[in-house]
Amino acid sequence: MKALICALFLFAASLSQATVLSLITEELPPYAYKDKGKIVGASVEIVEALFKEAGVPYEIKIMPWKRAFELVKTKDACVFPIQRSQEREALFHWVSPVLITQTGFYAGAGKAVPVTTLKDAMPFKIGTYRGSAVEEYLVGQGFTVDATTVDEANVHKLKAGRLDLWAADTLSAAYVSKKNKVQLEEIMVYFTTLRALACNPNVSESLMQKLRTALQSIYQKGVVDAVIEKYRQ
Amino acid sequence: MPTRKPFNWASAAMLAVFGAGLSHAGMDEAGKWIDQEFKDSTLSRAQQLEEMQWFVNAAKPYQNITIRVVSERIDTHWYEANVLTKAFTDITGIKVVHEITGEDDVVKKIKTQMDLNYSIYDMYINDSDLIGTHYRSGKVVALSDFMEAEGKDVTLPTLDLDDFIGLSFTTGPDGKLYQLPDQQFANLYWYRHDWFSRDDLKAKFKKIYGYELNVPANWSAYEDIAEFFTVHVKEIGGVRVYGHMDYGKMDPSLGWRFSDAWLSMAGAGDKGIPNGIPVDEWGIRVEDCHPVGASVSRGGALNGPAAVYSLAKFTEWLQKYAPPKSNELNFSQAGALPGQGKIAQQIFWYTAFTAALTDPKLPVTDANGKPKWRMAPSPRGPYWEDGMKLGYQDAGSWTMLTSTPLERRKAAWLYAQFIVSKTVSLKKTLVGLTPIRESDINSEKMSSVAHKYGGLIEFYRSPARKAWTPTGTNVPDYPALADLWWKNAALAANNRLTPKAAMDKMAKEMDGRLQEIADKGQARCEPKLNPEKEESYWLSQPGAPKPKLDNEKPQGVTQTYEESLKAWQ
Repeated sequence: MKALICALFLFAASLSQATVLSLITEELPPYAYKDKGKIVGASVEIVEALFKEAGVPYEIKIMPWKRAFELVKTKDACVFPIQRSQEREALFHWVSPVLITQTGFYAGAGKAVPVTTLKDAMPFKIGTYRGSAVEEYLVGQGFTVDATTVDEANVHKLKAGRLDLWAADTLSAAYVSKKNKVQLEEIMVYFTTLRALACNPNVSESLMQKLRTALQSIYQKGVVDAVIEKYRQ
Repeated sequence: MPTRKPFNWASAAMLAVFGAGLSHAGMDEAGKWIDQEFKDSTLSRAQQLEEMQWFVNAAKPYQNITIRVVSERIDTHWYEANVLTKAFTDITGIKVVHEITGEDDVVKKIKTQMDLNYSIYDMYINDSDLIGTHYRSGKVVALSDFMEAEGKDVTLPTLDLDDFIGLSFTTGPDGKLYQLPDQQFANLYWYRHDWFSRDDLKAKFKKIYGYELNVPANWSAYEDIAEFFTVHVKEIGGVRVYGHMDYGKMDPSLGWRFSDAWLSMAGAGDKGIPNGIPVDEWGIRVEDCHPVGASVSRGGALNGPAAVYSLAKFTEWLQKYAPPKSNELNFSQAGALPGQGKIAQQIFWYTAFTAALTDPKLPVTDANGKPKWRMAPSPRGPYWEDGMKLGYQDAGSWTMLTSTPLERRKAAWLYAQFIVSKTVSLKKTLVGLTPIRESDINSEKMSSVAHKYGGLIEFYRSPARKAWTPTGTNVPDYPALADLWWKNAALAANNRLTPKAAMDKMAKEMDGRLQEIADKGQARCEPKLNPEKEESYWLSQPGAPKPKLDNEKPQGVTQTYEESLKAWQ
């Protein structure tokens, strides 16, 4: 009997260990970054609130996006915040949206660039972050963009007059502007994106359902708005 | 539900010149826009000015608002986003951001706002396929109520709802209008009229099949013609040609191939326009407004013989007659092929691509851009009967959610009405070829350009347009059910399940989802599943689900192009 109890205990312990879900994100301030060794950021705070609301054990790791993406395709883990697209739909189970982000055109301080539609922006020299969804969207619409591997460089290029506009996520723009003490003009916010938590299809449907219910709850409690507002300032 | 190439920016470049520098909204700006952009209108200039004066006055309380709306990626919406937003802002002072994205993303966004009661957009241009979702959800504002009550002061007196051709698609079973059409396009049969007119090919076809090579009226003829070009003709002018084009990649876009009325073309549903009653083209049976099941065992038709036949033919034609590896393509990748001059006919083709296929540089047009192709009514499957819908029509329609603050809804409603107003809509129709108003379709201007568009205007002038309809009110939650189409159809398209097994699996899953929707609850008319019975019980009742035909390949029937047009009169 004692042996059985012991075995049951061990079994339960291994089960509970197995249900700690790995959540993977990339270094992308202010959404996710390391501060004094701790992983923090807007999307990290939202996902933490989500898992606490659902009562699901989790651990968050940071790794390069490509590695994270490939890992979640093969292992029982989740990646966030990821754009839910038609092309990716069949690859994952989704909890969406953990974030609603926006993309805009920014100009240097005091610059009035006459842009009220996407087309208006076409003649201007626009900087973007190479490989980003921002770049992908604009190139898909026939734009020629000046892409860099360090998004922050775009702020300095704006200041130096080497770019007319920087196409960037609104929260990232606020963060970079503050960090570099460079004032920016928000010219037009032109696109809204739903960003999700995407899990390997082997993660159980009942767990996914629990997370979806918890997501509704944290939106209705105003948790998501409060986090975004904190990072917008 | 197409999503496609970027808008032709150059055609609208001129607008930016006079659209940019205007700072004072009002009638001077209205006059400039009417004279430079909206010359083609069914209204006189005086009537246009009168209509614009109403907008100028109605907009005054909302000039400090920037509204945000979203729509799918077709030419009509690019024109709205890049040109009409400027006109609206210049005239009314209300700023607009009109976002453009894939249709799948539009549906996800509207579902997110409905599920979370969290305002993302001020209005959506959302396909009327969601009408069954909207009237049951309790989260969509009934526009007919809004126009009479809180929205009365922002409702255009000259809107003329009776002039809209698609209101039956956007009206709930309660008789209320839930959405207002912004653009419409149909899914029709497309073929190379030049090849079909060649004496040598006509003679060869008649020798093999015993009847004329012409526009197929039924699926038997379509199949014969597909085989003819792929197997017997093979090459035209040194180019390998095919008698069929389709796609089969496991991707959400494969879902539209089925949910956009494929089963109804085979004849799987019941009679009734715009949608079969009591069983629609999704195979869902409705009793007293409640969906009662999709499986044959519950009175539905999703895994009935006609539905299985429709999936079997899709799979067979894709594998035998389409270009190699078409099963690995998605909608966008496959959409480019007819324009490359290799495809003789396509049974499932969206007229939103009309303008794209009139580019003079393409091998499917002559030097003047006059099409060598034509569109014609879709051929019908052996289960189809008179009085049933015969194809799909997309009606991207203005949709307002209860979770958007009232002031923002009112400002957005002004923009929505502006871009469907009679001042604007004829010009918009000429740009995007997605008509919504009877007055535009019957205008002299349309008559003068009809020859350029391969039968599009003739289709929209005929009563046939009423038999090509969107998904109807039987579908209680479109976003919650739609993925079942692509996930299951792909299993058959890639030989992982037989068509029968795929449809059985899908019907069972559809019933399960209907039950989940019922368990979550809806504001009205939620699903109430019938108990299961022997399939033979339902198959022996009149209408859908229909028993298996002894002969699913009757004699092929074709018509001349002219005869096929007459059938629309």
